[in-house]
Amino acid sequence: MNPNIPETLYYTKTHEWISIVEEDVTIGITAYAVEQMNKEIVSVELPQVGAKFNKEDIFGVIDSVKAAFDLYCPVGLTVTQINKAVLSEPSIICDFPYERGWFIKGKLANKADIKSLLSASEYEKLIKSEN
Amino acid sequence: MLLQTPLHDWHLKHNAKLVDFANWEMPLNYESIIEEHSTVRTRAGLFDVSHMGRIRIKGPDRVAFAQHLTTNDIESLPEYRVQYSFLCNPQGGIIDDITVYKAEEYIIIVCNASNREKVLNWLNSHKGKYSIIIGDETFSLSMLSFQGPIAELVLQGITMASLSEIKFYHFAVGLIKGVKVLISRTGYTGEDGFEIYLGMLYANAIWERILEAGRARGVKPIGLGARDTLRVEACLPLYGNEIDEYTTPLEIGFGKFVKFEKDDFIGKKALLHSTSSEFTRSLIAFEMLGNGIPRKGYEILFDGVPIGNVCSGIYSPTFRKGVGLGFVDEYKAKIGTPIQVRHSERIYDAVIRQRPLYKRRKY
Repeated sequence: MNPNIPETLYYTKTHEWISIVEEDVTIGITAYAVEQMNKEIVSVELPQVGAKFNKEDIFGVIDSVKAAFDLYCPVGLTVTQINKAVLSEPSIICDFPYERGWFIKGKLANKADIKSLLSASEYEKLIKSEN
Repeated sequence: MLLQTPLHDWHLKHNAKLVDFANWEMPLNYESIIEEHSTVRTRAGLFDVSHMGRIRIKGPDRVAFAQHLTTNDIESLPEYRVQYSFLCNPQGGIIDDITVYKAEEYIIIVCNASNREKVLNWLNSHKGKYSIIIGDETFSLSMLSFQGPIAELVLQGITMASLSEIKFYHFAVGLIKGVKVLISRTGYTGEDGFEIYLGMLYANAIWERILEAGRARGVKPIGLGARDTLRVEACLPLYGNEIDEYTTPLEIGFGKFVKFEKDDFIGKKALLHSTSSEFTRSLIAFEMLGNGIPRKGYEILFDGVPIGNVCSGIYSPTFRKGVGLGFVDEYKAKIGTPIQVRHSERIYDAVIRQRPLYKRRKY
């Protein structure tokens, strides 16, 4: 078990994590993604509450000092809440990527979207193969 | 296989993140880029810039040769001075932006790493009847850059050369730890500082000597990541971003480095005519008003209409917001003009600011 890849979450190839409790989902980016950005996230843009996204739609943008990264929606959803704290203080994402550093919460639109998500062990394999 | 500087192993041992820069494997950062940036702004930082091209020209015609190929006036420059200049093609487009060092018996041209071979070919192809010898010393001569408000204080502690006598864009030859070095008061960060040239065998020893001398005062090694954020704040152009063969020195507002009153030089005629064109663009600096970090290639709009492009965009550690450099239609280039920066569907508000964005305090 890798403490940087919590077992209870699902993952994407684009390094988002998602927690799913029935229809309620929470989305953030992984500790590995934060590491790749040199732990220097300086700007975050998130959608409005009520926005609807399909799986793999871009729902936001984060910037490190060097480059911009799009955020992809792991599942189709309607946004119910955004994390305003990370907008004003993006460094929270670097310090607590799985806790206070989440981006959006939402209502799952289609349960079938879950099938294609990666488990913790599958995600761990992915990042090993990237290195 | 990427090229490596003599300090490559040192960078590896000190946790540098290494990246391919113009075919050189160079340190992007050792720790946080923001930290490294602020080290240079508030204390001093040491850069390995040995990837830059260093070309020595000797022979009786060296000044006449350089006078013909560069836009600035090297002939009237006193010895032991450095001059910022351009190599232009006959159309006035920039082949490279360079610094030229003039000593009694030689000239050294320092060019961009990405252009070294092109510059060498350009110089060699214009050698003609000039009695000169052109030598690429990039691999035998190392180059360090030591930049920041306490750079002089720290460096003076380890050299007998009188640094206060080396004025901005002057240079001298002196000793550090018994090693002969060329020291110029030049740089690419907007801070006071020095560039140091020395035989590559001594690069590691002198690098460590400078770091050791400054350690207690917070001097640190700095990577190319912070070099970029520092130069953008200081609005210094980077070849491949602000300038290329389709850009003239006049378009970036660097006309003072083009001396029309001197004899013919390559590009002179075209540059003279380009000033009267009405299809001109200007290099501007801008600051984001809200969220969003500008990046190279994003579109610049005025009232929603495209007027240009972003050349360089960064998160500015000094101003804690996005800033950038870009080309816009000359008529829209006025300071204070509200503009927008567009990245696909996202549009961000920005405003044109005075260049440079960052200016160090002079004491």
